[in-house]
Amino acid sequence: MSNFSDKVKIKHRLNKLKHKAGVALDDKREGFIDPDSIQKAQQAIERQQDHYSHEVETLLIKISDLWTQLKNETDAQKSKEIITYIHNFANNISDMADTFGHSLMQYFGISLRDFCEKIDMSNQAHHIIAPAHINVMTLAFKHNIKDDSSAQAQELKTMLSRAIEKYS
Amino acid sequence: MEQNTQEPKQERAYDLGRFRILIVEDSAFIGSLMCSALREMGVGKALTAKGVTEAKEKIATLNDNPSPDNIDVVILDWLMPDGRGSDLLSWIRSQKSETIKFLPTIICSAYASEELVEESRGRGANEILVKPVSAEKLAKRILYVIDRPRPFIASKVFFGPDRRRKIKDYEGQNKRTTKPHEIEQEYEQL
Repeated sequence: MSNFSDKVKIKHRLNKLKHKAGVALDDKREGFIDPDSIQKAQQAIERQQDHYSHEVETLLIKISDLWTQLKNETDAQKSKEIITYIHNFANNISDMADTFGHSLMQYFGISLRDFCEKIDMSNQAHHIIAPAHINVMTLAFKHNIKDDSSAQAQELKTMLSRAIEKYS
Repeated sequence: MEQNTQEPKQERAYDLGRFRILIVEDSAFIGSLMCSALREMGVGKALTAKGVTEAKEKIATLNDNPSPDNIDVVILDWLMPDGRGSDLLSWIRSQKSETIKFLPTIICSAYASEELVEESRGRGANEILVKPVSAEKLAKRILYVIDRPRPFIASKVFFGPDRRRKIKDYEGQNKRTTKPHEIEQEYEQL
């Protein structure tokens, strides 16, 4: 950035994307994407729902294994790396759950992800809060609780929030 | 007689068969889901990179020189284990190669905070797609980068698409601090 002069340059570029999409460079009209292909694309997304359970299960196992690793890790740098992985896997679960309307799993995924941003391994309370997340997520998965407003879902959310309140 | 000042209406669907779109996403599942959706939409090639490092390698290799195989749009996740989407964005905008630094970028994130919007705009993002991903949202963002490209601003402190979108008949306060004589217009020629 240091090569720039004090002047502000406004660079008007040719719209090469439009040209690549089969329209003349100087054509100012807006185009569209074939609605049928958008519908097919949505169906392609929805078809992936069949793999949702397997993906979430795999990530929950990974998170659980990483947590076990983290508890025994003495190297601060390695601990940080493990926490980053847990953070990202929790975020991935949240994204997938959000895509397919599993609002309870999304809620727990976000909660674990956010908790990872403040994990302090020297704080014993944190050794309770992280597994509490893993437990409720595993329960929600095993009992296939999709919606976050059902009685069962509320019970799990209460369990987690009590653990957080008690040990924070 | 009243003159018709409206833009002519759209006539045909875009053909995305020659488009190359790179999806930078650490979740293989979400990455593959987006790829399938883009292919169904007619995108010629949807590539994936699992993180910032792999994305940089792919962009550097494929967009080193102008070619039909250049990546045309980058859709990038905000949170990845080997770096943030913002790091990749800054890297793209700081490259010398014109086929890299002007790349249209779409930030994809479940965080829709004001902070994220500010940071991505400040680092030169073109668009933001808030997760969950749907075909409709993907199509809309792609259409935005095709139909509404903004000029690039190059200053000492910023390089990226103009952060001010044109608002027709705007009557509010003029917040630009740059004087007209300090602005240089540059038009790309064929």
